[in-house]
Amino acid sequence: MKKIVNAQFDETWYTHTLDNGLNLIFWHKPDFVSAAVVFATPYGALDYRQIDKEGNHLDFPSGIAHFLEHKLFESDEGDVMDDFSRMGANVNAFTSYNETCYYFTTSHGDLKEPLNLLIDFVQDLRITEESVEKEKGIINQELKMYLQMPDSRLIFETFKALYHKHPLNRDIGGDEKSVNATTRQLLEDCYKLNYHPSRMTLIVAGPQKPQTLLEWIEENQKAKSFEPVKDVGRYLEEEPETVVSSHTVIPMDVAVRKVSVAYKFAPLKTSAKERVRQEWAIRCLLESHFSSLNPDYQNWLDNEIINDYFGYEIDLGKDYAMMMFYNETEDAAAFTQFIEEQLKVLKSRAVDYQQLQLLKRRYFGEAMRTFNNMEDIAVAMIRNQFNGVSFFDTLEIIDQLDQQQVQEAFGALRFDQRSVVEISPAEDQTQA
Amino acid sequence: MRSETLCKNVEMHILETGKFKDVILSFRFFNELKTPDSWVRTVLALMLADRCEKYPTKREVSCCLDGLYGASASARTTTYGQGQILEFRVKALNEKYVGGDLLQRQIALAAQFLLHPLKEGDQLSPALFKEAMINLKAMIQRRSDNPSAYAASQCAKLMGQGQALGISVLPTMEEAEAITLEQVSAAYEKMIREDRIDMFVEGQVDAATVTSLLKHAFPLEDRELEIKSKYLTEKEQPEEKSETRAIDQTTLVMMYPTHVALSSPDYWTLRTGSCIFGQLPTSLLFQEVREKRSLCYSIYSSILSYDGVMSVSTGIDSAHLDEVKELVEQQRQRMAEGDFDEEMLNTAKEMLINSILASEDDPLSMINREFQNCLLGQTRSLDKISDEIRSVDREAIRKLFAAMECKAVFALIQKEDAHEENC
Repeated sequence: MKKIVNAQFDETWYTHTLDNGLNLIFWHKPDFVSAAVVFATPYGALDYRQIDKEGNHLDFPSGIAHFLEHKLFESDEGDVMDDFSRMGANVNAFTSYNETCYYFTTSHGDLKEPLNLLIDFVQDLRITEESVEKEKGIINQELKMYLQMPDSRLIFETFKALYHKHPLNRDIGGDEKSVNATTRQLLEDCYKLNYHPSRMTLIVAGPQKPQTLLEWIEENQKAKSFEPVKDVGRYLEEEPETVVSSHTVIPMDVAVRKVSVAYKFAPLKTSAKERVRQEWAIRCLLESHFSSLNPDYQNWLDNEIINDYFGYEIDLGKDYAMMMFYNETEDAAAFTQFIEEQLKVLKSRAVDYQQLQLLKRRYFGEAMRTFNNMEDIAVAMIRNQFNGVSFFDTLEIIDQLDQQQVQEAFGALRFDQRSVVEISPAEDQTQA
Repeated sequence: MRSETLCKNVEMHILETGKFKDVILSFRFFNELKTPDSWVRTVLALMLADRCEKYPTKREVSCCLDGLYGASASARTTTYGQGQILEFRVKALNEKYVGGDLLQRQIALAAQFLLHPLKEGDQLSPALFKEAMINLKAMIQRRSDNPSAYAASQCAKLMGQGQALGISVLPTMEEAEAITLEQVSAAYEKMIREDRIDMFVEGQVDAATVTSLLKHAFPLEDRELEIKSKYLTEKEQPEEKSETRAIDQTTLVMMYPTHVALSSPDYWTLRTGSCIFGQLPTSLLFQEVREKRSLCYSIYSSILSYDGVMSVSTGIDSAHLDEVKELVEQQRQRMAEGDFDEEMLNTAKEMLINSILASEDDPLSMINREFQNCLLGQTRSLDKISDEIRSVDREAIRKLFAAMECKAVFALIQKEDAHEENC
């Protein structure tokens, strides 16, 4: 087991890889009472279509990662949630675009029993046709819950408007049709491909002794054998450069119109570290311009060009790249024009040196705060592990950013593929 | 925790802990919850953390906060039964990680915002007021556009008519139009002069240093105030209301008076009962409505401790509305009959104790617990609470649920064709 100490952050952690390939991280927090344990696979909503090394396609219905997340909680005796509750542990799971995480938190010092239960239920899918059918009603209600939330709907519709083929155009949970098309066999096939220990990471953040944790996990894993697994990866059809829709209006029974102005870029064909560097460089420029750090920001608020809902996202993923601005406004055209004008200004504006230094301080402080909470630590470390760039490497990248790198990263973006999406009070009509 | 009275009804509390990377300053101004003051104070909260005399622009505020390694300054209002607090919070990194005099600057910053707001003459800044009113109206509309938040607020209004539960810190659009700058300016002066104030400092600090800094930065005077927070919501006749919207799901909220005050010896019995009824995966509501019948994704009960009310919320298809209402009531009846096994009772106790212990690892939960002790004039240690939970018995739970009756139901019902319209 390798021990790592970061003196500046006053943090200590241990890493180890078991013989079966399972990655372990123990984040040691002796001052805390509670622990968070996360067991995760880098299989998320974007992976519903896969391909093996021989070029064989393995297609599943969209939302299958999320469906699996629901069904893994089932055991022969019923639902493992009940068992966790009996142990005084809160168990839950979430599916994102790139990973599925199963986790529990507890303040009871003895972690052995719930830790074994977490590993056992994630490593043993037990489902019946009947239970799969029953779950469909629950998942469809969950999807409806998100559909009626204007904020999440705006993001989902923006992705749909940007991408023809890329799986970002599907909701994480799929849709009613794909959920209803999911079968026991498909779930089992998908599980076999994507839950092998060699693909997964287990992290414990808490006060427990790392050596004891390792012994428990080794004992658990020694008793199990895993069939060799096919090497499969995400299958992506070629994505056209163009957006699907330049303007979409989604009528909803809401009082406030929400608007997004999003840009689609060609994915960066660089290393993960370089992608992270470029993303943070662009984020620094956007933050220095589209926030209260810019003296004009107050005028934009006063003139009601933007309101306190306004914000932006920049996401340079492994196989996609996009930027999105969002706002509440009755005049989507004026907001679009405003964004276009400001992006032109930014093309010729260098980030101020002092501002860049202040932003570095801010991001350093925010990173430090991750270590206040066990769940935050566990999820952040898992994501960094799957992304291929560590938490502290990312901080170093931010710390080393200079004005020229910021300007070059932004200058390389082409803003010719734009999509505007409106969540509109219901009297408007949908248009393509 | 160390506490010290700075002057009458102004208390300082220091929670020393090296667990967290931050130091939190939380100033809690307490006063009676009543309209239109509750709405006026919401506007005041929006204005107070935005700018101040020393940092008169957003940019200057941002630069100052970034200089403190991404510190944050924020203000919010929260109801505590018959009371309302306006909390001003400044969070900054513990200076041991980066060096410098961060704590001193953090306290000075809080004093600037709280004691020297941006003014024009005798009044708070009209520009700041104008912006806060725009933000307030956006908040009102957002709550209205969020089906579950809207349904919960409407059910509370129905249940708490003429009582504190019926008072919202967010006004309606019409009520918001009537708020004036003069009202907000007067509310600020009153808050500083007359409110009870609890100042919390949490983090790795030297108590003597922080006490001296706070005393120097906040020269406040005695004030007279009778604290009223917890009470019991009562309602004679049950009432049911619904509205229809083109949404994808029907949101149902049901409320029951508990007849149990926060300071009552039965309080932890009620909390344990609520866990069995609707707060765990093993709970009756979760098992019967979600797991056995697949009628919902989410269903849960919660206790509004300061108002003496239990609430049940879920999202379902409108076709199942009557069935789910009946199922909820059937589960309440099962609780009243003691129809839950020993394992469920023990699980509920374990989970409740687990959540109480976990609050020791959350900086805000620690402050909230101490603040509750201040409001109730009691000292309940975690050990004492855990012991109380362990001694809860089935019969006591049964009696509490037998005395409950659903007095308010609000349903935000989906129009039949909503889903098709939106696809």
